Amino acid sequence: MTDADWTRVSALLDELFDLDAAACAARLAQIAGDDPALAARLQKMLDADAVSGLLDEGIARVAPTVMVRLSEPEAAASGNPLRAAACSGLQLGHYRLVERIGAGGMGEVWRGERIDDFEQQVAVKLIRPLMDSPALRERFSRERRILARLDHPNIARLLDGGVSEDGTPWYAMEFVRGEDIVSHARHHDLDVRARVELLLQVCNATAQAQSQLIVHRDIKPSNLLVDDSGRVRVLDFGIARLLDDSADLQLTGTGVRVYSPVYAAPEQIRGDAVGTAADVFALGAVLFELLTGEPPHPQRSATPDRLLAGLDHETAPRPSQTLRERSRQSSELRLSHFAREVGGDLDQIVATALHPDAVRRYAGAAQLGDDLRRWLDGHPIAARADTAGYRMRRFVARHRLAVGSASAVLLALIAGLGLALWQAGVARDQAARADAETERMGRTYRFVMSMFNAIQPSRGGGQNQQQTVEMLLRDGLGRLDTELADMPDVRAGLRASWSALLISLGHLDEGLESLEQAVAEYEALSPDADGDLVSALINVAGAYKDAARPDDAEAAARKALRLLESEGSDKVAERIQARTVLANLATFRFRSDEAITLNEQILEDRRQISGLKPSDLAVNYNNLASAYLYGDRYADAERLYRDLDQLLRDSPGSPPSRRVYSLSGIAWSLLGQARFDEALQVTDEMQAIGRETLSEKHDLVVSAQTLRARVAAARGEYGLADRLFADAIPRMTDSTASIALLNWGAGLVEQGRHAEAIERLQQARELFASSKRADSPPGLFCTALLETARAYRDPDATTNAQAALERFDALGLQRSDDRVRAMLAVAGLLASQGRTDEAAELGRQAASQATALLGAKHPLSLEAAALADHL
Amino acid sequence: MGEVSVLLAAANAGDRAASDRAFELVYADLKRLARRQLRIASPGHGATSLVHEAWLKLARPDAMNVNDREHFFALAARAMRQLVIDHARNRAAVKRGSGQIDEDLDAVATRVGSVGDTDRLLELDQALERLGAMDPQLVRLVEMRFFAGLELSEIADVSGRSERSLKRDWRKARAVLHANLDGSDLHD
Repeated sequence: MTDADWTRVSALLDELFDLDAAACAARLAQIAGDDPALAARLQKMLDADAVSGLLDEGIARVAPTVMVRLSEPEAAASGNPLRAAACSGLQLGHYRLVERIGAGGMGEVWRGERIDDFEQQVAVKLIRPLMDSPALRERFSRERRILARLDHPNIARLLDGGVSEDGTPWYAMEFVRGEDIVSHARHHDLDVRARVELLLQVCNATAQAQSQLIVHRDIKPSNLLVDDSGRVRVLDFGIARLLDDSADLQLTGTGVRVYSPVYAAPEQIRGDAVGTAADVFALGAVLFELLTGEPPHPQRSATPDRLLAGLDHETAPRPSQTLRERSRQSSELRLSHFAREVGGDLDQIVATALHPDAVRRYAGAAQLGDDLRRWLDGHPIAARADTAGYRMRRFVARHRLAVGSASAVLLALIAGLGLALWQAGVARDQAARADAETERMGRTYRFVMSMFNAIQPSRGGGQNQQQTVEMLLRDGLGRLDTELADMPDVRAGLRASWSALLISLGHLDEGLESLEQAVAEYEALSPDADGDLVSALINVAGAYKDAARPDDAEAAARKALRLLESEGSDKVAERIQARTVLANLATFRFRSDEAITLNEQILEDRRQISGLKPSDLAVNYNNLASAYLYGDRYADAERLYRDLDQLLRDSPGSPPSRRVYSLSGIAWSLLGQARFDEALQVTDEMQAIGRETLSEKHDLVVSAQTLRARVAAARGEYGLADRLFADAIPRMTDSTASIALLNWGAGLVEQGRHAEAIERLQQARELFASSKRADSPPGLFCTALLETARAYRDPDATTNAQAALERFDALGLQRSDDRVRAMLAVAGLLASQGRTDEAAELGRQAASQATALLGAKHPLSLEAAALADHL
Repeated sequence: MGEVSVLLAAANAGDRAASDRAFELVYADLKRLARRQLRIASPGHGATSLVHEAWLKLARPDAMNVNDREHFFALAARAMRQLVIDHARNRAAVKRGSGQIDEDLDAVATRVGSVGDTDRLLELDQALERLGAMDPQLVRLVEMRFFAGLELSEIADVSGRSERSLKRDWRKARAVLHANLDGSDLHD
């Protein structure tokens, strides 16, 4: 069948599927008149449509050999209940079980008493044995000895422990009469201070344990009991670790992890290394619940898949916000009273403890405790020290911040999102497919895989099966020098391929080092091996980029380009690859002029490749257009996006949803040119297409809504803008949400709604920081704007706003429209403080920078000039 | 950022080698994961869990945007197909008396008593190959639904396409492939 035949068959099937039996038969007869073979073929497909076949059976049925194996361990892991039911009177060590007081997933809890001293009450925990082995027993008793040394008034003492005759590990702990910390606070109707003081006790206990390198790993209200005297006791210290280890010893990979999803730190849920910061997160979660009555992430799912998937969207929540939301829904006065007391520093403390990124939290329980003490004493807290200049002077003036920050949206939204939809087109790209290096790598890879398949791990060889590819690669790389000493070209080739593989298996540093060696080997063979050298340089450039060594990446890619040029270069694919690396780097480093030039060259090269359909160039149109937009060349961007839009409309078979990308580009271009009414028309069309062709929660549909919100704000429809932003942002990814919040905040500053602006901008800044973009132009603009808004709000303090400006220069980002916006914001602030001369000077600088950067007619230049004149 | 995220980002920027490397990485790891007894909900969901597992392990979801996610699932589904087909080939070779049996995986099959539909799978693979030349989108759908065991709603979620249009495509792919498992029709 040819492509044309298929297009016809596909369309006819669509048509026939919609007809009833009679109409279908009639239509088939009609087709048979023109083309009997086609009709027969369609009939065969319709017959197949009516009966079940291979594809309905499910892969587990069809390929049980693979699938059953995959699903087997579940059965093994779910067995193993407590071997013998524990019973009253059972004697363990020096203790006797009295009554069962609880049971859970990991085992049972009993009240017990000491055999020779009935007065001494203990809690005995019996743990469901995951495995019984001498190694586990040994590990268990060693850990127990370490835990037994924990001596703190707020930690329930571990008294004894062991493994019973039937293999059940058990331990006895000081028996605490009391209720859990949250219930205690509720029943005693404690105020905010008293609640913080309760948690401080927990912090002290945890800090002492952490100083002995013991991490709790399962802090939650039910492990924090408060007795009648108000003393808190932390239960089960280090037990989670003990259980984890016993699971690890099993080496099943069944992934038994002991934690409570609602209070666990994200890294714990992901199965990453867990340290003191995980306890800090849990302490923050308990504090959050003490203050608001509910845990910070109540929506966390109990099923592992969803739990993990949900982590992406989590941000550090603020207790005061939760309290305010709840106080709106209830008449309880206490809630809004709490909200006022909690808002501010305590909010900041909780948010710092609950930061999704472990390194951004307090380092340990001690640091969290210190800040809580500072709060209790009314001192400035450490979590806020970096913004110490936030108390300043009140102010009234306002001015417009022109178009807001569009730039990073394009990175996050258009550049990234647009491309994936065109993957199909790229995959058909014959020129790219013919890439010889890829083929060579593929062959080598298959060769390695065949080695791997041939060597069956020895039976009974234990757990060595996991090594495999890495092992072979390392072994192979190690032998290259001795065994292939006489074949330098093959040696370099294998080294290059294998290092690339090693890198793709996650061993970046190791693979990179060896790839560098391959490059050196090729260089020694120059000029005979220059073709291979180019490919190796392109690979090493990519690896440098991944290793966050942009200078090395750039040098390697440039060298590859130079070689291609000196060769006379018919290797278009390589040239495109090298320039793609450079273009990415330029974009990453905010060098928009360079990114534009490179993308122009790439587009030019792609045009020269024969056999490409116009639609195959869509991705390059998009890249160049977004580079224009990013470089504030709005008119160029608009032109190219309109070309792209036309191209998409003209391509048969191109899904209409793709036009959302071109239309959103056009809308941003118009917004940049202050053509708000036209932008409105385009966003309307874009939203209509988005709703029709994409799901409501598709990232692009959500982002389109914030674009619409920007247009609304620019047109003065503030209420609408607020609603659209508020509705869209919770559904966005961090990177797009950060920009949306920044734009929202900028609009709020324009309107003089400083308190709200501060809240939005703080959220934006956290997102910038957590995605390591605090030092990007929009991130810096966000900081400057936040400082400005704070200064407007609080007239008594000195401002950090100018410091934020200087940061642009320190990072070499002077040539940025976001810097101009930041300057305008600060100039407005200075004017409001009566520092007119400084304000005018800054306004003049902004105007001249904007003119140099964007041209005199750019809205931002006009804005800056108007401000300077006014002053 | 996870290695796969980086590769997918590069692939999205037109770097074909990165896309291939990502595929190799996913394939190798699916294979390794298969060997390493994973936690899996139920036999019927083996493939899905495997793909999700690989996704969590390799892609570090925290570092990936929505489109990379679509790309990843397409890639993982393709790798899943490759894994199943490679295995079927291996079995076919063993049946013919050549080739090295994959002991690990096969020990179980004997116990289960079914060797599966090796030949039909290989036919399906060829039919998919031919269909892919004309309509790669349909093939990706079959890979995600049949080989990776993703629900249409999940596919809609990652691809941004409507469930209705996916359903229509699935029906079409199913009719065409079933009608052509003997390979008579899709030949050039």
